[in-house]
Amino acid sequence: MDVFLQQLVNGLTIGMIYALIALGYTMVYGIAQLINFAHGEVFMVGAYFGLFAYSILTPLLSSPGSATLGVFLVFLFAMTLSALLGVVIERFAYRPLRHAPRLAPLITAIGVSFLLQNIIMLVFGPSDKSFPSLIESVTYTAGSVTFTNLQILIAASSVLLMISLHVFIRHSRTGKAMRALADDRDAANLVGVNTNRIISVTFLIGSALAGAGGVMFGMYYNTINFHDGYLAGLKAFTAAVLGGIGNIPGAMIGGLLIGVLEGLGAGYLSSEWKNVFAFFILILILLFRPSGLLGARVVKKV
Amino acid sequence: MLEVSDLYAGHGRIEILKGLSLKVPAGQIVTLIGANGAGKTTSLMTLSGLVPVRKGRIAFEGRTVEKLAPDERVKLGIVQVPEGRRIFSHLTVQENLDLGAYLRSDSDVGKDRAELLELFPILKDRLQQLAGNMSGGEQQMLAMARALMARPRLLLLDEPSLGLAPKMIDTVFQLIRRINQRGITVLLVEQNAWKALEIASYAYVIETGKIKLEGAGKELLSNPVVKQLYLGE
Repeated sequence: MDVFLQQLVNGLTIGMIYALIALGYTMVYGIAQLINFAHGEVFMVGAYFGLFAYSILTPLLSSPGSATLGVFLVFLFAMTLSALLGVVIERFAYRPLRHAPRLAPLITAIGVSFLLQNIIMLVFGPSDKSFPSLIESVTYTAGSVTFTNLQILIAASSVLLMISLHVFIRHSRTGKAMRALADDRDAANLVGVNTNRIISVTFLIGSALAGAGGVMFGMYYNTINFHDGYLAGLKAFTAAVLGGIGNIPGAMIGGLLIGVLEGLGAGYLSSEWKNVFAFFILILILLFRPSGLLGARVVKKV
Repeated sequence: MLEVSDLYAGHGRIEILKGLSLKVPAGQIVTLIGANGAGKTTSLMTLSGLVPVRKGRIAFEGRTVEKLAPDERVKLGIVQVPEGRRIFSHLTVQENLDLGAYLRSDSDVGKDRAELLELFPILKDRLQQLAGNMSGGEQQMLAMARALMARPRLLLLDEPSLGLAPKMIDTVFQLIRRINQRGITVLLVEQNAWKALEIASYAYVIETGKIKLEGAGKELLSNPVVKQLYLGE
């Protein structure tokens, strides 16, 4: 039971990060019918943006009075630049292929992945970079379970971001346009929704969330590498498929489930095997419930 | 108000419109009738900018609009109610109406919605319902109300009676008349040629992407060719 609760807490923490990345996959798929396989790389670059922001903001972060502001600014910086990166990728890599066969943007996505990985490798070097925790670590104990203030920060800010996203999609004018576009692209165009603009906004939001996830990932594991985006991206993609690709609450639930499963697998079986579980799940879903847990609106009327 | 001259358009290698020309004078109801595959829906989609123009000209109130994006045409007042309703079925009725006014930023949106709910009372009790759960007739009402929320100057209607019960068809045609009385010009595409010719002041018959025949609505009703081919007599 002790192991269970402890691994549940750890799994939920990393699950929050997967959920943030999964949201980008699922939103882009829902609105542009495109699997953006470069999304994991945006997450990885986001972590490096965070590291870069840290190097500039070190004085601010090291003085106790302004440390909170410093952490906030690191997130803001990483999210903003990641968002821009996402918009640029869409504009130059995917938009020209909007009417191309579906395989073309998929291959382009792989190309963009390699490009981003190699840029980061050339700029920051191929070895692991140490990433600071940014906050003074405090450990809490509740019964047999221990958790840190960093885990609380990750969970709280992820939940906050997801709630903001939910409110935005539900109630804002652009959010409604996004849902309309996902529902019926032609009909959305006929009421005056501009497809390109909304797809840009979708990449902007999804990439900002991935950037936030990247910073959290760095803070949690304290080391980042230029190929971290590959595995995390693939797991987040699995999370999106698990929840039902195109379905936003599904991506949130899928991310948490993958994180918890990975945590429990690592706790009960072996942490060496922790990466196997996500892909085992992916295979099971694709075999038995390809529409995912919450089922997505993938069936299009012709 | 609308003048289409020698329009060519199509999908991929298939050319569907082959020199279409027609005129819609302001304030009138003009109808475009024709068999399946003649190019009726493609005509409206080309007017809305969803199918690109290959050759020819579309003038709206003296402006050349064939190069404008769909949203810019909506802004000018060319608004379409597409074939098969195409309401946003996973969104609520209220959200569908809000999206109709997507490009508007004036303060009369709320007033217009209240007015439209008087015109389409069926929608009033269903504002919070998912649009996809409504009947075909209700969805047609919603599709029309959504288009009217954009304050169209020219309303393009594609097969509004398709798949509806006879009583609902009568209601829809009455509504078209009332919409027109409010000063909105209507271009109506219909396979129900009888109803369309009765309501229209002028009518065009399209065949393989070209206008085959034209005349006043009542005139075409008694035209022997139209009678035989489109009215089933």
